[in-house]
Amino acid sequence: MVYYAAMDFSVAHFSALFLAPTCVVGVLAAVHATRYLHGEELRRAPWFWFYFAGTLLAMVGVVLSPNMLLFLLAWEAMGLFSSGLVGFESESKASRLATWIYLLACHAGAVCLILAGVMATRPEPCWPAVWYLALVGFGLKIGFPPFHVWLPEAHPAAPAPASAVMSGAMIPLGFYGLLAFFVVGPMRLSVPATVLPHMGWSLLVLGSAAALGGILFALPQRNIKRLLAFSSVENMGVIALGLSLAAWGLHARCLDTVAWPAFIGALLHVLNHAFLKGGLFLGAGSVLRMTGTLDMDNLGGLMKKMPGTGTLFTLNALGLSGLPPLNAFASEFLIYLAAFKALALGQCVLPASAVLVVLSLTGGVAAATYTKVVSAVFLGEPRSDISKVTETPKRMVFAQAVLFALSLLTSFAVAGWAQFKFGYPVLTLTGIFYGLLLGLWAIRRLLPRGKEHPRRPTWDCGYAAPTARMAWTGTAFSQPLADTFEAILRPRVHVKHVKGLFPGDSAIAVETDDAGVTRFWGPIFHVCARLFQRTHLLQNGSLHFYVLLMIIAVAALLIWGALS
Amino acid sequence: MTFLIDVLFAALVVVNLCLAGVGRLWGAVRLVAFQGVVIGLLPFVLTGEHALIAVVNVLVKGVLLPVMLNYAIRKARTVRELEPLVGFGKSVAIVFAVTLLSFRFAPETLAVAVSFATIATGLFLIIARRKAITQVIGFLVFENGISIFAAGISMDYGLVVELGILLDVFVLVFILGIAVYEINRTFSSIDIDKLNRLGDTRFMHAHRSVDGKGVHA
Repeated sequence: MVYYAAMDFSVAHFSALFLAPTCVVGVLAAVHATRYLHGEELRRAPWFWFYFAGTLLAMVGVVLSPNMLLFLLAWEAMGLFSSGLVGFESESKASRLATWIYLLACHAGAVCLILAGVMATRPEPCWPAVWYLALVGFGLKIGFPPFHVWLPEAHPAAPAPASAVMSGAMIPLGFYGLLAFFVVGPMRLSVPATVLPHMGWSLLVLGSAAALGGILFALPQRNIKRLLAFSSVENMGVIALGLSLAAWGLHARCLDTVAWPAFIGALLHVLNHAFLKGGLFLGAGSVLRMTGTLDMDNLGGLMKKMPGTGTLFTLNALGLSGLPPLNAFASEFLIYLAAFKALALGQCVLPASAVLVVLSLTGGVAAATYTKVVSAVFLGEPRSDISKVTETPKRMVFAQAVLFALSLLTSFAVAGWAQFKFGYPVLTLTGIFYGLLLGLWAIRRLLPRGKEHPRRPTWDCGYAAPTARMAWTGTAFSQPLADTFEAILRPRVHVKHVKGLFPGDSAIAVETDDAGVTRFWGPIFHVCARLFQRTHLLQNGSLHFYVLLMIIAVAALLIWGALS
Repeated sequence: MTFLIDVLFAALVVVNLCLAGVGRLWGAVRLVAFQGVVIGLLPFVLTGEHALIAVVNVLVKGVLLPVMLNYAIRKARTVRELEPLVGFGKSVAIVFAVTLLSFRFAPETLAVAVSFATIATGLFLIIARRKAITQVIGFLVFENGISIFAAGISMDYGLVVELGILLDVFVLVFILGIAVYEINRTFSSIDIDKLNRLGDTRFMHAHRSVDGKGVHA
């Protein structure tokens, strides 16, 4: 009887909010994948579909689970199936490493979640400990620094439709988990209000680190998908900041003024990020499919060859960098609104001002980052031979277009709801910006009327014989900003200097490693490896010695038992 | 009757000491067979019941297992010496010390002390002798020690369980006999020290040589 009851899946409004991106992004990514897989991959396509369908199924299971046991099962299944997607191109070393790191992250997360579940069911649980355990467990999926290390490895390794699903719909499920355990839904634990400051502080710190760190490390990346992965970390940080502000609002009992707008903003950002980041990953997949590379410094000028993909990618990028009037603006605006209201009320001043500072800095760098991606990949002159590149198949563009349209629709719907139900002026503001945009567009169309404007090569700049080598690369574009944050980014620069009176070749290459790997987990794992190597003394291969060790262990246990 | 029981226990202790000192495989096998016979008789002598179990025990431990061991030794065509890791003199001293300790610390009955001493002897043989076949002998002695314990505190298993345990031991020795033969065929030796080729010691040395630098997140 109990088991039947346990299988009773339920859809609450709240679950539906996370179910929507899962299904929508999942289906559209599948549409994209029908044309994305090609060549050698087609032979293994059944495996792709197996893992893909399994991942989607597990994600739906996570969202619909009515109790913790089923939730954890689905959660584990989700990690396992998606690791099959990460390791899909298993012949490459990077892919295998990514799968390994991803599996480690999944299982470490599951351990924390199970511990949290066990602690929560004890008679007098230590609620802060439960919260922090759950935060680490879900944070490993969400990608809070320093737990984000699997993201920049797994996303470039997985096929693009899979990354779209994982980044757009799977990572935010970590927030679903946090909310389902601590805020609403059938799995909600009876958490006392005293945990709220813990929630507020931890989400504030982790969210700030994720937002700033994510976007800073996204900026200098050369691989499009790696950049997008870091940008996912940033967006998760923004969501966390919104939730943190909501927790502070609850704590200060400012529901309508602070808590609700921040909460709505955070959840709207989940939807926005799902659709837009899904679209961006699909676009990156189309680029990879057509050109065979994701290295931004070797791409360029694709807009003329792939206008559909390029336009949609640009729109998605604009939307995600939070520029008005597109949709990430709506969600970030709601969070800003909450922060300003909190400041105006004089409540929770420190968190609110921290959120304001972090959000604005993040938004600025995000705009620069996405400008870099779009201009390096789609604008300018091609930096490699793209004469054979054609527009992607229709349904790949279609998938992107639907995602973008949906993101617009959602943001309008939510903005309208927030305006008419709660009176937050989101829709008005968006409308003003749309009007402004329309006006600018009209001026742009009307002013040069009657004058001829001939077409010239891009970035002609008056040179007699311009080549693509003169144009700025993505790395060059991001250099000034990257130099500002050099202390944090610590890029590795390989320079071949100019020498002599008649200089020959010279070159420069800049790589920015993930600080989470090089400066946090790397040293830790190094020390652990050194420590554990000492245990090789015990593993000397002699059977006699092993038996002796076992006997000593048994004897020690017996003596211990006798003494205690 | 008490006298007979004391004699049997004394015999068991003496056999333990002999096992530590014996230098030839065949000698060790015969000693284990003798120990098996004594242990087979033990429950019968202690309680006066279980004649059938005693008979089966004596047959299996006293006849069948030694024959199988002997067969394995001949098949493996090994040098019929024990090749100790710990010398015979020291071995006897250690077993003697262990026996003293168990008599000092074992609670109440003689049987428990003797069983502890026998178990320790079996483990010692497993650790301190080099050949795979001596591991089997060590295991048999160990198992005999447990039988003594069961008989000594008159644990009544019942016929089926008793026979089941015997069957287990029989199958184990059977399999180990085959294993010894196969080990010998593969490594042309049943020296267990050479089995460390199977472990990942090679991996270990490779790791040491790069000083752990290959390990990263």
